[in-house]
Amino acid sequence: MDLSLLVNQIINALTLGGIYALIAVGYTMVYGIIKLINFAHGEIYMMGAFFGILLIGAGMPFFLALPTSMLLCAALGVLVDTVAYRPLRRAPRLAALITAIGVSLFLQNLAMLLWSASERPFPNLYPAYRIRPAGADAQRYGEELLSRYAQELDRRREGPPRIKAIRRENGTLLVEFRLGTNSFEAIRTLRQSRRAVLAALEAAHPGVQIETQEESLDHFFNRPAFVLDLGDVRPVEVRWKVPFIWATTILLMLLLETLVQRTKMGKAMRACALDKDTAALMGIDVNRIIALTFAIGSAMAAAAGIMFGLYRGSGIGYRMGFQPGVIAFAAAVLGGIGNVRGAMLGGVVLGVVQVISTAYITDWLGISSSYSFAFAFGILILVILLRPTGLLGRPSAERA
Amino acid sequence: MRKTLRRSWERLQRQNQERPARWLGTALVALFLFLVLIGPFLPLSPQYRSRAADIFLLCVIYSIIALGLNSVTGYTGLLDLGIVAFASIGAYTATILYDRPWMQFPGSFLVVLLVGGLHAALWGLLRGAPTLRLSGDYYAIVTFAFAEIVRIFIRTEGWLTGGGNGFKNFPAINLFGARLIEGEYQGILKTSGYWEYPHGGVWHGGTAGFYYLSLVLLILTVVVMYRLEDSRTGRAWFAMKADETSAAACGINLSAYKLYAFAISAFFAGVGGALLGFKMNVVSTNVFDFWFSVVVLCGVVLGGMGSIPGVIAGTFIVYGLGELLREQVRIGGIVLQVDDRARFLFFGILLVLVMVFRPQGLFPRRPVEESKKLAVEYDSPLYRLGR
Repeated sequence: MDLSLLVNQIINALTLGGIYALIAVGYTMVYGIIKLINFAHGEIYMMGAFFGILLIGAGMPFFLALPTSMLLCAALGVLVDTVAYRPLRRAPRLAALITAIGVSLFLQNLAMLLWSASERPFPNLYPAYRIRPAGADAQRYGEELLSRYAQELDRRREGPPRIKAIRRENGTLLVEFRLGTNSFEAIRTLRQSRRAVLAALEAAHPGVQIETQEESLDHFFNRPAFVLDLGDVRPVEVRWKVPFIWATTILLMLLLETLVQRTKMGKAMRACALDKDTAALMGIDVNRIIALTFAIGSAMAAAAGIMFGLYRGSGIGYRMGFQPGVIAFAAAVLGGIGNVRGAMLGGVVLGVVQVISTAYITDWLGISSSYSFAFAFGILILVILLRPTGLLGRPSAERA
Repeated sequence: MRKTLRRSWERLQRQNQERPARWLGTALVALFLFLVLIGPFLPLSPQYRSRAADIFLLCVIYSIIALGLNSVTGYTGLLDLGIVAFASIGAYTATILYDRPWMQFPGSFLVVLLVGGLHAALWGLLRGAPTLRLSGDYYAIVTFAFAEIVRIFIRTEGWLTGGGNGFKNFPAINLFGARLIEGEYQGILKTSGYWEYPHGGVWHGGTAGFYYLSLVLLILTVVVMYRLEDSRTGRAWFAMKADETSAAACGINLSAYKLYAFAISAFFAGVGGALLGFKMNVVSTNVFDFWFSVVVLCGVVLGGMGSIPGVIAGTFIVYGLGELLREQVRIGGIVLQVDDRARFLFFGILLVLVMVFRPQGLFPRRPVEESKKLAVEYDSPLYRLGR
């Protein structure tokens, strides 16, 4: 067995599992308090990714766009709760569940109408391009070409998108755009300057061409953090964004854990989950606590959406929330619904199951790898049938 | 006999004095039934006539599926989010039997529909058997997960099901010497699973014969459902919905009656799905996806779960509205048209609004006891004083 492949798959699985865990936390908290499967939660995750794209595209630095998107999604979650779920607090549970499906349908189609039906790439956070002269006369006129190109870019330095640095590196030109520049705009600027340079040079040196190459490795997140050589053909290369995603996930989980277990607010939340009426008698504003739960869960989902975009670099579309949403719900059930630590564990387990079943199990069974999602659903059904309280759930927990 | 008639006539008159709106309701229902009955022959220009018949046919077929869903969700109170699994099993079984060259199935069209329904019912039992003790959200999630597994299976096993593209362009269908569907249509298959034809408009799926076959099947379904409601089975279901523990204490075999409901539900969904496949001239997972279940459920919930006229009315409203939203509306010089994909936005809003403002649905089922109580109260002097 290829050991590097295995290590790569495990890293992949843990990253994906962390993302699932972040989504699952929202499901489990909302279920714990109002016993509602919030079908719209996957859509909040999708919205989070879209807010991230839009904010970064508008020129906001990544480290600011992440919390902003989380805040926006928290507001969206509270809005959904107030408009759709709050009027149904005393209604049958079925009514609330159907409402949740309605909200999910609404948000999905709203996103499609607002941002088109096609999938988008996650913006290259820090686009950099290497310009290289080519063609028959490249040796002789390359220097002149590059200096003209640099002048041309220098003129466009301020206009959108802003250029951070233009550097000469052994016979090439390295252009770095500001963090968060839309790569589409960056390429447009490069194309304009290239046209201007070539138009000026055309008459004098017809044998010179310009090659433009994307230097995505120059983006900090895409640079390898460390390389593990296990003696296989391709060494394991871990890029910076992986530890970043892990660190953020763990940080958010720790924050959540502290909030739920150590603060007064968390105590109120746990009280509401146990018994809303008694909690209200103790002076807790139950509606406010529920809104807070939605806000926290939605913020976590938004973070997960951005992490997913950062990790995959593509696949941001109005339907992206459906499958992760379902798997995260399965994770919440697997860990014992209503149990925050269980949701984290379940997310990681399902991430591992999905990746490993795609990579190994389907192959071993001789079936198509598109069954890997079926594995997640199969596990969900088995857990519900065999151990409805989940891995960490208390056996006495009320079964729905 | 005359005495009975006169008494019922008097009672009707008395009720009408008290609730004059009844006449209006009866008239509306009669008009609706009449329109459905003459569906393919509405007095409109030919283009609009075929379009109207198309919409009516779609609503009739979806009503069969919705009534199937209703027999689980409405009667036993278990939320089923995976009705699409049975509709697609029925549709794929029927079209594979009817259309695949290697199949050589000897039966007629009706037999094909029946086999499709029975195959779906078998899976209804297989899915139902392990999930008997589940209730509420967990049951809903299992149905949903099962439907997704079925969909993944269909998409993956292309040798049997045509994979992601599915089947389309079925041959002509004859029944008892009458042509039901012409077969071999030329048109563009949109991703949403609808055919668009060069001359504009959506294809009218088949002849009047197909329409009336579907209508007869819907009427049969309605009759079966009414008979079930009135039977020991129906009462057992309602008892289970009210309280499982008490029902079991009354000697109702919960497992048997639940399995019965699952099988009935899957059977009608399978027959409806098969009809739908032939009507749309395509079966593919683009049509039979999760949102299929949601929209059928939307109709059931909107009309009122457990009420047969309610379910049919809700389905007609949801699908009629959905199809009407496709049409262009001209007001003066302005052309209004909803984006084809945005119609789901309305379904979402509709679901939320209905649940928030009228969770029992537009035409809810009136419980037996309550209607009896009302009949008593109408006659009591106290009731008249109250008016």
